[in-house]
Amino acid sequence: MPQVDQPSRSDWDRLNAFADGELAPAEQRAMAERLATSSETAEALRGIVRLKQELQALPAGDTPPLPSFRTSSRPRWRQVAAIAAVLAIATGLALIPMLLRQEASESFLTASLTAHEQFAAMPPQPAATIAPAAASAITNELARLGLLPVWQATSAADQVRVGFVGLRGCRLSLHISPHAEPAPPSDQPARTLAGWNAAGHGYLLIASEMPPARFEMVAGFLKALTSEPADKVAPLRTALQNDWRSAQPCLA
Amino acid sequence: MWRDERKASARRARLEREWARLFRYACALARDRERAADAAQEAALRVLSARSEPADDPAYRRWLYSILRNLLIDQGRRQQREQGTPAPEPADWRFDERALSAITVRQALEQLPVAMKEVVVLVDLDGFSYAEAAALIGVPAGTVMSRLSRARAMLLSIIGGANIRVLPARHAAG
Repeated sequence: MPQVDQPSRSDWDRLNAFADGELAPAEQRAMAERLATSSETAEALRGIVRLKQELQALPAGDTPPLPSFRTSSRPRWRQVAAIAAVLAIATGLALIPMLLRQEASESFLTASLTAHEQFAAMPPQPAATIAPAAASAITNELARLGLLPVWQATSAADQVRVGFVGLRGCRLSLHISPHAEPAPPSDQPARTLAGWNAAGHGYLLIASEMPPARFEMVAGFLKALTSEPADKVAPLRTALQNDWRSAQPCLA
Repeated sequence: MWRDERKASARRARLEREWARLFRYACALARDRERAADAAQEAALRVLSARSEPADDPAYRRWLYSILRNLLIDQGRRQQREQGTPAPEPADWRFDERALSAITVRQALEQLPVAMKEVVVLVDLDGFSYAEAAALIGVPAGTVMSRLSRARAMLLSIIGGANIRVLPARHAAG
């Protein structure tokens, strides 16, 4: 006789914590394994992620103005002089953020490639850790494909990096910048690399020795996941899952 | 003296960046928009007139939210907080994703008990971790996890009851 797959309260709690990237490493691995075998659980996770996305997309609504609060009774001519001085300095400094931004962008690509090389060279069983909230939606999607987050790092510039290992040995790393980044160069022979911007963030996806066609499919899916509405993501997800079932081991 | 002025201006600009989120949090706790505006503005005045403020941004945000939260508690504006409101058990994980539109989600959020709405706002909307939200509210992280999952179950239940077709439970092969 068929039995209803009834989730318990603690299962639901853990699934929500998984969606938030808040589970302990062992629990996260257990949940990822369950997601790979239980369509009910995977469907529920998809609903939680979608709910989170809708919540995050809610407009802020009308906000009253910040109250004025003056701490100084400086004469008006001095205020005018201060404003003029600030404007002059601001004009003079206007180019500095652009220069810094360019340097930061180069650093993002360089630092991401360096971090990926270090991750790819790690022993076969690296220390597992939880994925940061910044990458939780992507982490959940990749977990369904059997790509588990096993490494993470956050730089002083708030760049988030997550490393994934697949069941067939693939190694993939995702790097998220807190601001948009220029497109990376396409001549990366030894590795596979894709970059895109979405919702004010810059993303870099790097894989070692992964078949290019499969990598392009993963990158296209993650790009859509971070920038497209859900109805456009679903077909890509289905195609990727179908491809993944017949995927060959990584080239490494 | 000019240095003080620049410092005050920088502090105000920093608060401006958090202002919309802070006001949304006030609305979640106070429910009444007018009282939320009063509390948020009072909190802003306290922040701007404070002798010092945390340098790093995460600590600064926690400090802001704490001031506002304590203010609301001190002023006794949380008397209508609905403690122990029963949340639906997640008996059926299935639901129709198409119903999760911005309108239904916003309406459902307004129906949550304040304690649940607070964790949803802190974690889902404002990006606090469980540990940060727990420290702010003054409860264990496990309570935040449980409260948040109950809140989401309730949101999905409210949305489902409003206008979507609840899918039948799927039977697994035994």
